[in-house]
Amino acid sequence: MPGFFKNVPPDGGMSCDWEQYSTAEETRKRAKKPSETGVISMIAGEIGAVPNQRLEHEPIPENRSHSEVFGEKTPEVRLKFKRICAWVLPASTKS
Amino acid sequence: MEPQVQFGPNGRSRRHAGGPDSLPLEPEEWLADRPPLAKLFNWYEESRTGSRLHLPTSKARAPVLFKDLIPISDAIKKSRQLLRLQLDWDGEDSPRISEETWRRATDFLWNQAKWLLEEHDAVIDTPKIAPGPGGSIDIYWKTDVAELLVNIPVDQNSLLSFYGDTKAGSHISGSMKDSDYKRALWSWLTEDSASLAR
Repeated sequence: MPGFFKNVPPDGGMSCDWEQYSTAEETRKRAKKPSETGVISMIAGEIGAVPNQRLEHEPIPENRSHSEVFGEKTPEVRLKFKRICAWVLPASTKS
Repeated sequence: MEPQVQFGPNGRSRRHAGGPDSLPLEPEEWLADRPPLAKLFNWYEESRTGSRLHLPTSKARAPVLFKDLIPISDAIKKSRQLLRLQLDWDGEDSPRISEETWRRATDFLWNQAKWLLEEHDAVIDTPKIAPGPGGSIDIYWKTDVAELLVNIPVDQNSLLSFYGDTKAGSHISGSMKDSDYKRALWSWLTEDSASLAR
């Protein structure tokens, strides 16, 4: 759903990992609730084509792959992100 | 007092105005004989006002409304589960969805669906009602030709925002009041951009 795509905190960016330095499994393990978390992927060049979105690699001490997608996540942006993303690791759904 | 519509055996409606010629109804008859369609349709209206029924007063129109708005009513009913999400439900510090936001979202959907049916004899496709960012709610439609996303913000004073586009390559976006009724917004879901220009 388009609701996946949001800035956290709201005035920050959308955190993501660069696959050059992280596997999808490693990304999932860093989530607060790995067993309930799925992983999707997007191509960097396609993110840049979505209006007003800027991707930056921002490594942090515990995660070299850490990156941020800055820019307001309007309905347009979120709908377009939904179209360019693909599931890599589906979430194990909790009923 | 405006007479209330009650349903009798076999789904027939009858008015009970309380006059000398009115049919005597025992309390157990008041709701028990409603046909299944009416029961389904009425979930939303009942949930908003306790146990009172608010049914269309036009006997000719009522069956059409019942049938066509049942999927929307069901989607609204199902969406109430959003209110059970706890703080940080997504592991990203998301707040809970408030009753006010849910009410606003479902009122918007219901009123738009009802308006389109009554004024244009058209039925809105049933959308997905899902959590949006920061405690907001997304209402999302996807058809064979178009997608439309409407976001209901947490701030009750903020406008709704929306974006939709078609496979033909045209798009619609902006913000609107809850009470703005735009046929073009809904035409978007079933027609190509050419029809919107007419």
